[in-house]
Amino acid sequence: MLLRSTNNREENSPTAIFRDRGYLKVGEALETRSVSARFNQQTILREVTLQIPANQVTAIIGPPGCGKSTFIRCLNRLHETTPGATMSGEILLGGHSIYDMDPTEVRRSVAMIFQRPNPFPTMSIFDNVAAGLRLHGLRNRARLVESAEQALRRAALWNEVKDRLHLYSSALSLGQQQRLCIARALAIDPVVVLMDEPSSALDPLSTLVIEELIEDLKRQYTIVIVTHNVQQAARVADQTAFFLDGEMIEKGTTTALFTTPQDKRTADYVTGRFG
Amino acid sequence: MKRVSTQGWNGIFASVLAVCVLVVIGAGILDAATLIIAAAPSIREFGVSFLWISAWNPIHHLYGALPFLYGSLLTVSIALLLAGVIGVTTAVALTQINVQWLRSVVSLLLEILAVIPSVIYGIWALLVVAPVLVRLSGRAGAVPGEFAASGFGVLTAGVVLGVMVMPTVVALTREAIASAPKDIAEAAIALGATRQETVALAVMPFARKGILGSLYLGLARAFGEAVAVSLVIGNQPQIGGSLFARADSLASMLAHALTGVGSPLQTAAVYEIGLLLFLITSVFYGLGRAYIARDAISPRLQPW
Amino acid sequence: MVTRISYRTRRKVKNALFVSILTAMTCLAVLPLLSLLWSIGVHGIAALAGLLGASLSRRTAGALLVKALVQSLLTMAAAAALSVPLGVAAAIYSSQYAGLRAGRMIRFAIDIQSGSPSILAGMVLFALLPRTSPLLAGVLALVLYMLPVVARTADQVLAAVPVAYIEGSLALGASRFQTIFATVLPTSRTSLITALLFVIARMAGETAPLLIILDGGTTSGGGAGFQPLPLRLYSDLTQGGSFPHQVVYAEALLLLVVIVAVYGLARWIDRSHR
Repeated sequence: MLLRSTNNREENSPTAIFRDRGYLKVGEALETRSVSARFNQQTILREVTLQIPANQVTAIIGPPGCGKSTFIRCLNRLHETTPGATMSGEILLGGHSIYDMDPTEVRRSVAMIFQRPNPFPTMSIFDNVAAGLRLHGLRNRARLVESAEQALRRAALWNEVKDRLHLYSSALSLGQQQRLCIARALAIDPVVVLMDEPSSALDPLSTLVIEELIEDLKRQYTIVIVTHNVQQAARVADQTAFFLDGEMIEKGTTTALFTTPQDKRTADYVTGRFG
Repeated sequence: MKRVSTQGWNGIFASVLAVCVLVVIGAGILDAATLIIAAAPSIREFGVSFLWISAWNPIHHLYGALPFLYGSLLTVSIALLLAGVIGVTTAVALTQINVQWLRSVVSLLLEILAVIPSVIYGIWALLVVAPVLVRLSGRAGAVPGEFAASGFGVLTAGVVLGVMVMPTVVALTREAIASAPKDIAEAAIALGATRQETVALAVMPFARKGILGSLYLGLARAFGEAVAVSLVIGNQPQIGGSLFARADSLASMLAHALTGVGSPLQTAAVYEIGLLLFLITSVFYGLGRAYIARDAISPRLQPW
Repeated sequence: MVTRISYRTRRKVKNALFVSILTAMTCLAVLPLLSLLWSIGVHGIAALAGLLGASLSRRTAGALLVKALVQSLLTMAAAAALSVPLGVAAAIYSSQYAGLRAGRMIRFAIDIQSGSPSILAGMVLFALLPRTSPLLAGVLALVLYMLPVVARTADQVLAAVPVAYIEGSLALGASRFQTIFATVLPTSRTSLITALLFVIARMAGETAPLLIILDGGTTSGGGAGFQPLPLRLYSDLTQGGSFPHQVVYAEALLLLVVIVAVYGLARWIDRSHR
């Protein structure tokens, strides 16, 4: 039914039947071409062209206000939901423009984790993870339970919550809540996972857990992470892009960017002279 | 010394203010006390049965609140149904509209709706609502001839009341929705929810309390409305069958009842109705405030 | 596969339904106002145009209208003159001076009062002062009704002054008294004026309290001379031979214009001093 290569993806996942993105393969590559974004009359992003390879972690770094959050929010079409926001340029997911797709479908394939963990407070842990699945039509209770468990395992949270799935999500610590949000996102089987400063609100131990998780997740998904913590980028990312004032100044493999930056501004930021 | 005199002034000032507070609160107590004292003869005469005596008969010195309770309950129910459904959905619409000018225009119109006095609502009711309802109902089926002639009745009064209460419901529901945390809504959108799903999943659960409060406050307002209702309800204290029948409500009867001529018992009975109205309004108002924080009701949008 | 696609369409349909229901309801919500403004505007202008005609009786009617308007304004002014200072003073106390528990109790008491219907204020005055001049009784009834509303509104505005300003002033050694007049009142001046204007706009149209005092608005009896606009309107409505009665529309339009003008003034002040 679907032409797909079988690398890295659990074919026996209960949600396999649920995937019908026939033209997309697993862990897709993203590409942006000359993406500019404006908010009312103010230009936030200028002509950003970046290739985000599949099954790798790409980090976006830069000082506050450089447009990195805006950039990542364009990738799942969240930017346009703000009143007064416009954008131009092309964004391709697996070679297909995301503007040709229904926004809700884009967001199903391109998941996002936010800076402040935002599980649905009126729902239990299980309901949170199942929320996305239910939204997209999965009703069968047994499958929901299975998928939820899978997602929680993938998010390295299962062992901590397996006995208390029916507690409210607010009963968890902040780090656990963030992993719950990750589980919720993973449950609907995205191909790209966007993370907007996922650990900046968390304590160092939770940060470590998240970073290990990222290392694990990239085998199955493409990860884009925005971070203001330069060391974090150095730790987790395969590729890093440096943004400043709405422009992408430089990009490259993390090692290259950090050890031999081409642009002086990159060097200054990376070594901590500003930002 | 200068410091002492400033302190002195300070103290005097504070005392003056405190007196003002006492005056304000005292006025309210005076209100309630006057009602109780004026109603005393009637309370003594009829006791609790006042609530279910269904006659208002000066000739036989028999007074009861039931017909008016009936009228009030019916009109208020219709009003709240209208105001609730239309008001809440409009509020949701306003929060979802991204077009700034449209939102401002609709908000402006609703604010003006809230400032218009009841008399003018009454005129509009006579001028527009009654004839329209007569025409609509005539087309729908058989209606009592009395209604077809005048357009007065419970239904008309209920509709007008609904229009009057609606701005309150809209304003308060908007506040309730605005106070819902935005990052939860973003989480829903990021999961791929449609607008309708986002509202249902991430907005309404937080707005529920505020919406309930707004309905209670609307109830309080609706019970207390006298002028507009008295113009179209038909002013006949009867417990009729259909919505097209004439009736009378607690507040609207008060508008006509104190003519200065009439036995002391009658006057006392009228005040007892007033007392009843005071109690009902206070209860619902209190309930509404229990659900809605004080600051949520912006000073600009005081509905009454 | 067929089920999946139809579920997606089902979601889209639900969403489209959602949007259309919202639009429909908003139109329904706005419709009454437009209908009201239109009907009163059209009939009122026609009536006013008629009044400007040459006929003597029409001129008298016009003069009576003006008299009613003037009486309205005077009544409002008098009521405001009494209730605003008292109410604002009470509000200053409850927002600046009162302790936590006392403040809460005061606010609660005032709140409950402000929710009571206007007609009761008229009844109370009628019971207390049955034989005084209608003007006095009317003004007092309005005051009785307005007082808690003014106090509550003013309290809300004053309480919204950022605590930081107040603390800053106190930290400099200013007394409460000085803080209020130097910091709190100036900061909240615009909001206060706007809010009070809104209250006055609403009160200008109040008929119910006056109704009671003047025996149901009949032109006979002791209250013949005193007929402010809303009351005039009501009495003409309930007594005029057959409806429609031309004068009524003119009165209604006049009242509407006055109130919307005050409201517009309030909004304009609000907007220009933001």
